[in-house]
Amino acid sequence: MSIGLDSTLLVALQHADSQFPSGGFAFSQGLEASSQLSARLGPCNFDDFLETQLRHRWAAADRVALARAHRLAGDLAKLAELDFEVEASTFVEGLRAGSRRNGVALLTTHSRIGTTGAGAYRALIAEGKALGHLAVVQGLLWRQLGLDEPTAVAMGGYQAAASLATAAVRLGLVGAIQSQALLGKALTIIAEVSPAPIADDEPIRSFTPLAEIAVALHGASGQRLFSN
Amino acid sequence: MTSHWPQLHTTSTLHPAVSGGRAGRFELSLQRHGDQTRIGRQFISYPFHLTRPFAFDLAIPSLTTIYQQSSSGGLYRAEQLSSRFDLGADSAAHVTTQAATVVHHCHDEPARLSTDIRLEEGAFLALTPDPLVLFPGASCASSIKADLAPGSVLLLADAFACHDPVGQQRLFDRLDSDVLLRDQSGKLLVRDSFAITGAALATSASPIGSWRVVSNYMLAGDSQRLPRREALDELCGMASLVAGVTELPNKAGWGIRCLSADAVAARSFAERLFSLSVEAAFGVLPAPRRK
Repeated sequence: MSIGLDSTLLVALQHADSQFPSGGFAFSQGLEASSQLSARLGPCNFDDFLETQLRHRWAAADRVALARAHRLAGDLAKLAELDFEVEASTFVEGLRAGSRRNGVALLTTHSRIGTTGAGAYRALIAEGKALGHLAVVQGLLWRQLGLDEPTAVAMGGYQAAASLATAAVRLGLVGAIQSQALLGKALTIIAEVSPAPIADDEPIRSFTPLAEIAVALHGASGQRLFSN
Repeated sequence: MTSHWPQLHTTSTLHPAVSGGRAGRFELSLQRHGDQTRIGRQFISYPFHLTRPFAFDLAIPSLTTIYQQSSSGGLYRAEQLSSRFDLGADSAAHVTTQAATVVHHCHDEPARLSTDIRLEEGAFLALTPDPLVLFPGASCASSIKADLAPGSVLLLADAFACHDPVGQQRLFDRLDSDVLLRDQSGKLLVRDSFAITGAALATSASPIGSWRVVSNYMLAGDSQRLPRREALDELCGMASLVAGVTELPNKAGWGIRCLSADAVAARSFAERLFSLSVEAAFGVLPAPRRK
């Protein structure tokens, strides 16, 4: 019996892999400050933090921006408009800056490996005509790689969860084995929230005030492992 | 109904036909006359009520204070209440409420609040209603849109807490909030949008932890008339709450997230932020507001 492999699945595995130089290792989305400031903010449990991030930020903000970017099918001018909308819709500076830095890092890698559209979008950013928010860049690039919208959304959700799990291990909040158990639980949340319909003009929403306060306080902290 | 402004917005999309719920309007145009700000055109309809404006601040004669009152006892199922504040050049107003606003059980038909704000050059508006109190089954969708001209300042406060009057920890249904700030050219500066359910706040993964009152603030506009970052950071160190300051997108001003242990702490923070904002804009601390 022959085994038919879907080459797009292999492409998805390559680009969702943590070894792909996407730049996501530098960001904790408030986890570092939440754990360091737990005496002030309240107990920091990574399991709950991860669920909050997925349900109340990723599902309604990053997933929405990624899907909308994917639908723009490489139209760079419209992608830039969406980029500025993401900027305006991201309340906390630490999260805005992190998203831009991560997006530009991913774009730079793709530019070097020759992904269609990556170089042109980098040029727009250099001219100040686009910003390079991560979800917008993911939507642009993964569409260019021939990945469909559900696959791109799944990759975005996986990377969001996996990068937080990696951050939790680096911060010593969980061990490597426990982080994989929690990541498995996170996958069920991603699968649960991903089918929610997204209109072409769906607002970018999030409700993570405690984590956002942590990010704001993190900005004033001198010693830290992560950018946010 | 008080109506000196009946014809302007009757066909507005802000006021779609209502089936089942009431539609109330609270619309004011404020203009600077000499050293004072006065109400020009107005349209007030049930359940809203407007008393006379107050001049609490003798050292800031341009700053008028208006209490947006309701005679209905809160927000109810399918209500559609709209507010509009047009502030002319160099006018200044503080619009607040006398107490928190209860949102009652809405039976899957949310109460809808919409607020439109237009600030002309040099205008100042502090829109600081007391928090919404979300009763069991409450559902509310709030939309605030503001256009800011150069030199203007806007302080927006938006807060909520949940409460079950019989102490059974029953949950509110849902709260939607959408706040948009634009500059005079129509460019989007800030969009702060969220949806949250009472059920989500009752889990161990609640995005507010164990805090009880959620307050969001935006202090936007002319950076020369806004408080310094250091003063806001210091304010965020108050007891019984956690808060963080951020620069708003597009250098629109300051944003603050605040979670409080109780309504007393939330109110204290709100009052001090209002004082800081007035002092930064006018150089003088405001007088206490009676509630």
